[in-house]
Amino acid sequence: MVYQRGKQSIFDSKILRDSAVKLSPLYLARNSPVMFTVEVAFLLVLGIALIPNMSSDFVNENSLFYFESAIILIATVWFATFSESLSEAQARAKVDSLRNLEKEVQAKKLVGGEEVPVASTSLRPGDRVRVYAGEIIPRDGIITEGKSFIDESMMTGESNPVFKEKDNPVLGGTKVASDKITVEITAEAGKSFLDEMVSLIEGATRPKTKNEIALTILLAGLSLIFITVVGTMMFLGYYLGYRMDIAVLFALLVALMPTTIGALLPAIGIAGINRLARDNIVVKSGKGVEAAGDCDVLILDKTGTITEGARRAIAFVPLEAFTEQDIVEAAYASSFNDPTPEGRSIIELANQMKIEPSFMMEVLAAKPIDFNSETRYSGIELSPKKKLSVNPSPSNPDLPRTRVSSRIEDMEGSNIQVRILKGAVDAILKIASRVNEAELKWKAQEVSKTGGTPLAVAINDEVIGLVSLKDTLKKDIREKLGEVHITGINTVMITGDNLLTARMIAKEAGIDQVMAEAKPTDKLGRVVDEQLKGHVVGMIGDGTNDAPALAKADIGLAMNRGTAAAREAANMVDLDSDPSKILKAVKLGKQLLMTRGAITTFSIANDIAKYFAILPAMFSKVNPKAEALNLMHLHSPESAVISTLIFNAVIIPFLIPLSLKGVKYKAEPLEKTFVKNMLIYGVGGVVLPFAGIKAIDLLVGLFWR
Amino acid sequence: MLIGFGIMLILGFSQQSGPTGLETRFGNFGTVLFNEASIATNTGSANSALTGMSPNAVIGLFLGMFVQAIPGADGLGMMMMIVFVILTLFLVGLMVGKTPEFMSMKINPRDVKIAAFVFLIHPMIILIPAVVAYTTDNAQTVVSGVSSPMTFTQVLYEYTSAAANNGSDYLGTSANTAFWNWSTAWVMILGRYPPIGLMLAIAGSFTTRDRKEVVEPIKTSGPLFVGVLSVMVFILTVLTFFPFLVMGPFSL
Repeated sequence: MVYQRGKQSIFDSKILRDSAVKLSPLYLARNSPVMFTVEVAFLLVLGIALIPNMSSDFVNENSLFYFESAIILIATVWFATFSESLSEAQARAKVDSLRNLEKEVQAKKLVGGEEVPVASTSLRPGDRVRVYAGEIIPRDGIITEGKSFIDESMMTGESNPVFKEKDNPVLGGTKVASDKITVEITAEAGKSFLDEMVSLIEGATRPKTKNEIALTILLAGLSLIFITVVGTMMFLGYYLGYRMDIAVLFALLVALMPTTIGALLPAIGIAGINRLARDNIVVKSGKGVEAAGDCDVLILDKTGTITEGARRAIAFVPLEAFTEQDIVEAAYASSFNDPTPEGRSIIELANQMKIEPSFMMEVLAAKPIDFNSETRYSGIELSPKKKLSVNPSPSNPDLPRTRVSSRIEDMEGSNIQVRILKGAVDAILKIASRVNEAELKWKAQEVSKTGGTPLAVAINDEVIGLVSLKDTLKKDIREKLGEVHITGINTVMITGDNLLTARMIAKEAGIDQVMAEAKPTDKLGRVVDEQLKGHVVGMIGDGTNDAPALAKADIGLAMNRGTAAAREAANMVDLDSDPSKILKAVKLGKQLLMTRGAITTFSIANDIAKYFAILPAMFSKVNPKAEALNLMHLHSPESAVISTLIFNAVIIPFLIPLSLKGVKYKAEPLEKTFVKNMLIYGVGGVVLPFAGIKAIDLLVGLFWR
Repeated sequence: MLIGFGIMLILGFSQQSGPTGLETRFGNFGTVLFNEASIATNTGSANSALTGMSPNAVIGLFLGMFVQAIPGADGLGMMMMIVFVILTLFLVGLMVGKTPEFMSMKINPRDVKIAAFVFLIHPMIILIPAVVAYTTDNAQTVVSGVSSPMTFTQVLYEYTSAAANNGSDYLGTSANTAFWNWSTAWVMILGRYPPIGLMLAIAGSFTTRDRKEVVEPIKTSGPLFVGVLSVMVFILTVLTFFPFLVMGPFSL
């Protein structure tokens, strides 16, 4: 029953006060019809306890019995409001911990190059501030100068500091861990991401979702049926000569009504949002969480979600006329000034193969050719040799001379400008004239088939060979996708790669369908297509051009590092910017629905045992035949009623941890989950109260007067 | 499949009953089987006087009328079963973490609301008239002036039979009074038309709904679903009337 998380005690005075306020009949009537009925029963029973002898027909126990019943009834209601307050307190705790970050800090505003200390609240968008190591960034902004590691753990939970440099966005409230940076403020006061997040979580006292409404209606319907049953029973029992006590009738009503689920319903909903918040996913509406559980098609970006997003060289493929040595030397040279991970990986691979261009000196002195979107290649341009023919082999005479090195020497010797380039196959083909096009294309296709991306390397207009770049799959992605698959969710991978590469990666990762050579705008089309087929679609996005698709998708998970438009459009935001988190959101959504279903089933199944506890107590005094129903042989009719009520009440706090944590979820076929949950909560719901009521009765029997 | 379920239900009832009174050409088992089958399928014909039947057999008859969802029944059978299926799917769907679906269409709050109404009507039009009959002394005058479990069983049977579109009768000719005729007539009207209207509303809203091209998460066939459905039917109807069965036929 004791449920503690961190330093927060369950008996926090705030929670107690809040749960007491929620006992107000007005609040209950609006939010929980079942609990409202229980409270009405409490008031009536209390009334009878205070004014005894009001009716000889319906009141025939001593007033102690009524007081006991009344206390248990109000305790039932309080347990319900307590569970709600507890889950709300957890949501608030998260908000508070975020609020603490937002304390006002001293900022060093740059005015004409001078640092002027000002309060962070006085900053306006466009202001520039300098932040040193150990200081807190006053508000969201963009780095305009310097690079630094930034500790974002308070915001994202990511413990490793993140490297940020010029033009990267930084979040207010995060700490600079090294060096100093200059930040241009972009957010208005009170409009930063932190504020946005706080308001999102506080909004957790949200409108009810569709499923929740349907369930509330079902519960209200059941309650009404049982009210009819108990109400008519009172009259019919009277005419048939049973002396039915009104408190016992109320006890029967409260026992039969689905009080357990009625009590825990609000807590379950809030807890779902909480659990996502704990995983650093901010949900904008409860609807999003539920939709996540329903999701049956996931549209995933290849880069960043399925693969690490950093392509690495894995092999060099020379064309017919060249050797491996040639292509390695050329690729090395072309990547020498390339700072991208791809370029570096080429150098690394060459180093592993212990191959270095024999014309290293020239490479060192070369001029870089930067990548631009028009030419789509990069590389180096060797500077014309100064002391040309003094030494024919200046760099290292020990190294074997390959065709590439000799060719470069020849060209240098004849004073032709040498450019060593690498780029996409079609981009290189445009500038290369001396190449066997068919061979190049065939080899490029071979590379694609293995899941790699081919990159062609050329010296001036002669293509030397290809570098195969491959994106590595994310750790565990195969297992994660496997789990998703088992639960019947289809996965679609969207990528700009060609079909062959895409298929290969999909096969490796266990993806069902691919959408190759896709532009970002194709996402929206795919989302709409799938929805028309009746699927519930989940997708991830971070760019502004993802926004329409994010808004259209049933579950749109935006990355925190993404653009504001994307965050606005999505119904969930992942603070860690980890796209594979969508799998977690799906899992939590399912858990939320399952918890509701399980506790409802449990609650209804409990009724069987409660009938067998209370009905003998009502009938057996007058009708000896009803003794046959007395399966449990409880201490006395009064103790039977009290025990049933106590069971009914204490089962609520016992189930609070379950409703806050959620039903255990394992990735397995739905059928299996169903059987398992039915056995635990259905059959268990029938059996447990028999045992529970009997146990409580034995305990009560010890103290019975 | 569903008809098999119906037969299973009927057999379940007939096993627990055994007539004490009337002998017929069919013998005990045959008589009870006929009565159970005819009453569970809402036809209302009987091949023996009900007064001669054992309490267990009468409970069986009651259960058949409370459930009134035997597919193929003459009346609301299949329709009631579909309402049961919707409610069961709702719970089952939640249990596996999916928004509930019926025939690849989402079940929305309105459907649940209507289904809950259908279930609410049934006990109301049986129990409330029974209370009225007692408070207006009509019940007592018609049956020998005493309030015994027997008379209660008869009164309950009258309205249950009327509400379930049955037509079989337990009160005998002594009930041919204005009160009984009028009240039974009203219960018959309320027992038949409002549920049909509500079910048409559900059907109507389903016809306008988009049907998904997706495989349903939970198959509505096979022993698993039928088992759960039976338990749901049992809980939703039998538990509602359990105390009255105890007060009536059980105490005979």
